[in-house]
Amino acid sequence: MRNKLVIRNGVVFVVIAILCVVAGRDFLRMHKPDPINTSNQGISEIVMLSEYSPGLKGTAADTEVYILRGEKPGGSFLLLGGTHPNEIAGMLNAVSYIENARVESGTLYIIPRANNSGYTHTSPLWGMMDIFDFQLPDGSVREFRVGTRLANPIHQWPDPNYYNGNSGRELKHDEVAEVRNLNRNHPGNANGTLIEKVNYGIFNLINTEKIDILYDAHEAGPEFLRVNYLIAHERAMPIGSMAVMDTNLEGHPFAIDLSGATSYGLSHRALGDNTEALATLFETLNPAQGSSRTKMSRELLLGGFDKNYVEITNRGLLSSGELTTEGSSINKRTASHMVMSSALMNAFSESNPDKPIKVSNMPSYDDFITKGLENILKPINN
Amino acid sequence: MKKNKLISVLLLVIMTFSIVLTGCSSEPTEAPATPPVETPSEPESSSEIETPGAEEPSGEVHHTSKETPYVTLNGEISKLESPYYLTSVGQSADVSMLDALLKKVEAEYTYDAVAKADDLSGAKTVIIATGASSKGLGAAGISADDEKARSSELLEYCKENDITVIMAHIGGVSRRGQLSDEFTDMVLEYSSGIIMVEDGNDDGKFTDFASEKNIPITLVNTIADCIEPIKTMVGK
Repeated sequence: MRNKLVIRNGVVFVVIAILCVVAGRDFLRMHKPDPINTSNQGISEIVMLSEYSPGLKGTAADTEVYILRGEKPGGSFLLLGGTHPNEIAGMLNAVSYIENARVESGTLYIIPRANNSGYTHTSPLWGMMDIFDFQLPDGSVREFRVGTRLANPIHQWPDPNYYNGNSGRELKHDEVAEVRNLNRNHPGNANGTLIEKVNYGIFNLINTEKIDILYDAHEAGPEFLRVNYLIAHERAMPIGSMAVMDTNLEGHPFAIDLSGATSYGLSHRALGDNTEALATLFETLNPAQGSSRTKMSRELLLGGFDKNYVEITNRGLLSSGELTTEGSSINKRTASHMVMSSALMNAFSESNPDKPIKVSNMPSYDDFITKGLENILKPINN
Repeated sequence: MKKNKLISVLLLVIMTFSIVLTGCSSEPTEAPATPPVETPSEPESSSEIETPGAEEPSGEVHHTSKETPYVTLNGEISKLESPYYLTSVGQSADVSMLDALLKKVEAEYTYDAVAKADDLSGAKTVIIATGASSKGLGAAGISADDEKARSSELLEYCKENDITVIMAHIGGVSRRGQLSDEFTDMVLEYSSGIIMVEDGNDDGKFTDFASEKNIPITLVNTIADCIEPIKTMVGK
């Protein structure tokens, strides 16, 4: 009788162990960084953010900073992707710059995975995909992780019941998990939580490298009231408005709004208030992030198609995140980030002719739409 | 007893299987029926954002389109007398967009979003961007009542000193709603002309007012379509 019990329990244990190993492979896969093609001759240097925040060294949140210096001096532009990893167009915009851009004057600082820890897991119960890919013309496949908007709790734990760091934002009640949100804890703290050390790295980079403009790339679900909006700190409003006007003249119906005075911890407020940089943030429309979406699929995540949101749009219930049957594809969303960030560089250069930021060799909006990211991203040869 | 053990094992397997399913499988999975616990990605809290007007469209005829980017009703807003002054009533971000527009057409003008009546000394035309923004008011460090008082003094000054007032409503439907309309109504009474993105006129409020007062109103399809009418206004 006892032997029978041991055998039965042993079998259950082995079955569970097998299932855990199978599931664990998926989890461990998300800890493997997505490679970036660094053959672009325009890349001057790659450093780790821990250069600016020593407390990050050796942690899962340390992340690469790609530096592209122009031949001529000029202004400096910091482009953040992956502040919220699941807002994938921001990261893909950053990678597109890294793999294609040539800087003629000024300097680009690009952090494609600002919240690196957030790439190692997905949101429980959210039904997100963990990985997506592009088939490149040479037959190779570029894979990218989706991740989620918060740092992984295995890297920063526990979430306190109440937190009031130096962002000025009180994190409590249903906002306690935001202690792991990079965009709620700026300007950070060199000796704070893991995510605050990332925040501090960005803050210190801005001050050390005398960054002129910050562009924080985001995406939002259709219900959000400021989709396709540039949110600008008050000091960034003049060049932000010029940039948004230029994009409108090119046929992109983007808009601008002012950073809230009490948006504590958010990049456009906290880094605008605490550094000299002109802080901006741009949101593109990602229906996969909406809570009324249909079943998660590649068509939804990359194609940006969702019949529920088309119906909701047709009923006139959305203010800025309207979705048509045309969808909001990843090509369009990434292209929109490229157009907006590029317009900001141009507007800054126009207003500061002594500090131009000129970038060439980037694919055009039409290139993104017609050729697709599969023809813009470079193959990984290893 | 045996039955209980069987149920326990069954439950254990089901639980394990469900953990595997939720364990970020690379296969697509069904979206949850309820929203996630985490708050949505928002650059601002929703309380800081003005909601668009709740009124249903009244079936007002839409005059503009991609093919007809702007139309002027009740006459035309011809070249306005300079010097020009640009200010805001309601402190929305639209005044900054209007600033960018005027720069784009290389107009010469003075810009102060919170100009006081005395600042307008010497101006012949004031272009006023209307629409309320609690964030804009917050950034300017003033309350809605303070803004109304400033606006009232400024508009009275214009009337007493024969300064032409042009109302610019370029925020579309997102600049409609109770507070925005309160500011807009103040300016309308003093306006000699209106330029606006037509989406903001879905209820016919502005075209009706222009017809009633017999003042020209230029309707534009998108904000970018303001360029040509503004060039005409400032003689560029």
